[in-house]
Amino acid sequence: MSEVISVSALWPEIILLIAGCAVLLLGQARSEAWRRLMPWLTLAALAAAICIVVLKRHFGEFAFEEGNGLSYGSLAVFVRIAALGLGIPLTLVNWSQSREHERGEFLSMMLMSLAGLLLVGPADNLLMLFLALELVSIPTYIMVILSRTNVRSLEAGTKYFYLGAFSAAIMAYGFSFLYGLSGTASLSGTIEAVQAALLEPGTLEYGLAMIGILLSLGGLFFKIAAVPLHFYIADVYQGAASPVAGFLGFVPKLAGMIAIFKIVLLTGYWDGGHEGTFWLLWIVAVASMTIGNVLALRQANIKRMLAYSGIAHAGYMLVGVIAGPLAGKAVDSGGVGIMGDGTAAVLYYIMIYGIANLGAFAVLGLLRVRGGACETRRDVAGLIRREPGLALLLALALFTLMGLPPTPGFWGKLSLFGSALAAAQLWDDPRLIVLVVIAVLNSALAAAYYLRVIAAALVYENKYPAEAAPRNAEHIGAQLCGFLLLIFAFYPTSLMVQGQDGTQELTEGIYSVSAEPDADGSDIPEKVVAGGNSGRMIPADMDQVVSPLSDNNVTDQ
Amino acid sequence: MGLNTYDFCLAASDLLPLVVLIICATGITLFILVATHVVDFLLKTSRKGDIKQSTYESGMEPVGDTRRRFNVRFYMIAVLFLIFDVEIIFLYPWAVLYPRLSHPKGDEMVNWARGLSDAGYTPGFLLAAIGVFFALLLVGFIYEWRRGVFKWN
Repeated sequence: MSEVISVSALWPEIILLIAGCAVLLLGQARSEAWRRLMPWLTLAALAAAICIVVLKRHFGEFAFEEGNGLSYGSLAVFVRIAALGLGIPLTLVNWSQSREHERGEFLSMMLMSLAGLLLVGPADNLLMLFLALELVSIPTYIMVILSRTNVRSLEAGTKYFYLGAFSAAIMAYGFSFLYGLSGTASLSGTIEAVQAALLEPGTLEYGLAMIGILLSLGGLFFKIAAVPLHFYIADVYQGAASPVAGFLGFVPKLAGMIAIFKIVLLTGYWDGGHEGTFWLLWIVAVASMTIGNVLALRQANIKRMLAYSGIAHAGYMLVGVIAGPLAGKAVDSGGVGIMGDGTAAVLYYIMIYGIANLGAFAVLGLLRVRGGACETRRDVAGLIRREPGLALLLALALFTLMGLPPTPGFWGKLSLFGSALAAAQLWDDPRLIVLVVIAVLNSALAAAYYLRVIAAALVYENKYPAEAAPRNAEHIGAQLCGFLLLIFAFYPTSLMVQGQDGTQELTEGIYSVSAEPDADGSDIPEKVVAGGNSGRMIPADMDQVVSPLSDNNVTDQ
Repeated sequence: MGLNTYDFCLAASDLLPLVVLIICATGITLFILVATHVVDFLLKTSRKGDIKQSTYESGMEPVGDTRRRFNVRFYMIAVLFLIFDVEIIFLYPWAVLYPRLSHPKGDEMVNWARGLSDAGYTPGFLLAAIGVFFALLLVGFIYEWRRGVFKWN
């Protein structure tokens, strides 16, 4: 079999890369008419990439294209659709971002970052995963610096760059341990060695594997802004222009979360319930939720408030990671199996969070108070009188982040916490119930600071309220975010099913140590039962529900 | 599978000469440090004066702090250097490898080349890969040129 991936598998990424280069160069054109075209070119590239993804999916050509450390599975398909789909509102919201002669650079960096995100999904190799994650992150440092001209954005960009480099070094160090343990950089090869090592506590291998997992996840916690590495986020969001902060709330977080899936899959935690990984994720989730919410309570600046609440949302997402995908497949819940699949819930939630966060930042980016940027609660006070549409949009986005019942944020929280409860039932583990209780208390706490902003915008009076800048594309982008939120409020399953399709790959990985396509080219990987469980045993009723497990117990052993 | 504890100890015993070397080097360094300070303490005379107290006793008079603004051109030159430097770093191994793959000589090399070609690393692929690499560097180069990096006044 060829080790080189075919070019046809990579067309969406190649298009984004070519468009990124073209926008970079044409953005330097002398005539202004040319430079005006750059956002259109960005949009066209994204649209072309979406067309290719949809067509390929329609004609079923996604079947296990692999090589060069990339392996296109269900997760890659989800990431492609999510990143390219949300790329359009991101482009619209950032339409006139940065100074006029630097717009080419800015949009080019955005395209590069999205191309990196598309590569994180299929990355099947530690080296490729690292490169893809850095391709996501490095352009964002430049975007933060380019987005404004004041000293604060320079400070934010510099901080982001140095801390990002620091976290990348931590992650690379962790990857090197995993590589050293297994002697191969491919994830499907590493999984065997790491799982075997984690079965024997007290040995040298166990220690090496744990250090590798700890450092890898530690570096990735920076990308999703979870607690030990969250310090940068408030300064960066405040220093960057609002639409750029909206970008930072989605693209690096999705990339980091996908990479966390891949690393957690290595430990076999979702299958065997490895204690060390469990406690690591549990502590980080609880600390992120609590610290994020408590710090957000104290913020008068809405951008800082949204930044700190982003830490809390990373904590909620980790609840889904702790729950894992297995409960959704095991419990026969009669049509609401989505509610048990923690990883699918994470994918759903991250999309909803990304859209709502972008919507809120887009509104803030559009508003002007006495010629300056609109940042504090005082600035948005009385917005409903001057700009009713934007005020309602801001309220919708914040209600979604809060998780009020009809909004998609509620469905997201429901599926996240529900999956944790399903997992608690499946594994008979009260610690998960404690986790859900803490998460629910935190959600209630979070309502306080969201409601203060909503009240300011909708209820308070203000003699000189903020007014919106006359920018069509940004308005359309913000409205698109609101529109998407309304769609997913009433048809949440449309997105949830996508998330569940995306995590197919992860549950396959749980039962198969090496997921390789059969020699005859059929797409069903051979299922092998992972050797031994350290902490928890698969309950007896799993055999009846999950057919692959019972089938292969017969065929393989 | 990775190494177990026994292998690790075995590997550690190979490193014994290195450990001895490190201990000797540390010991000699410490000895010299202590000895010079002791001798210095016994023999030194104390002289003070303006020249004796200056930063560089026999050198130039310092005119200011080192923390000062540099011309941005130095930075630009560094970035330009990086482009060409990285280009050479990747180009050199490629240039060594490519002719062996496209025109292999001898049985061993032919087998090796065939193995790589079967895995998908054909000469055409290698040419395309370096072409893409060049194209990306060229984009960076043209960008710098358009931004006026080469204007020296």
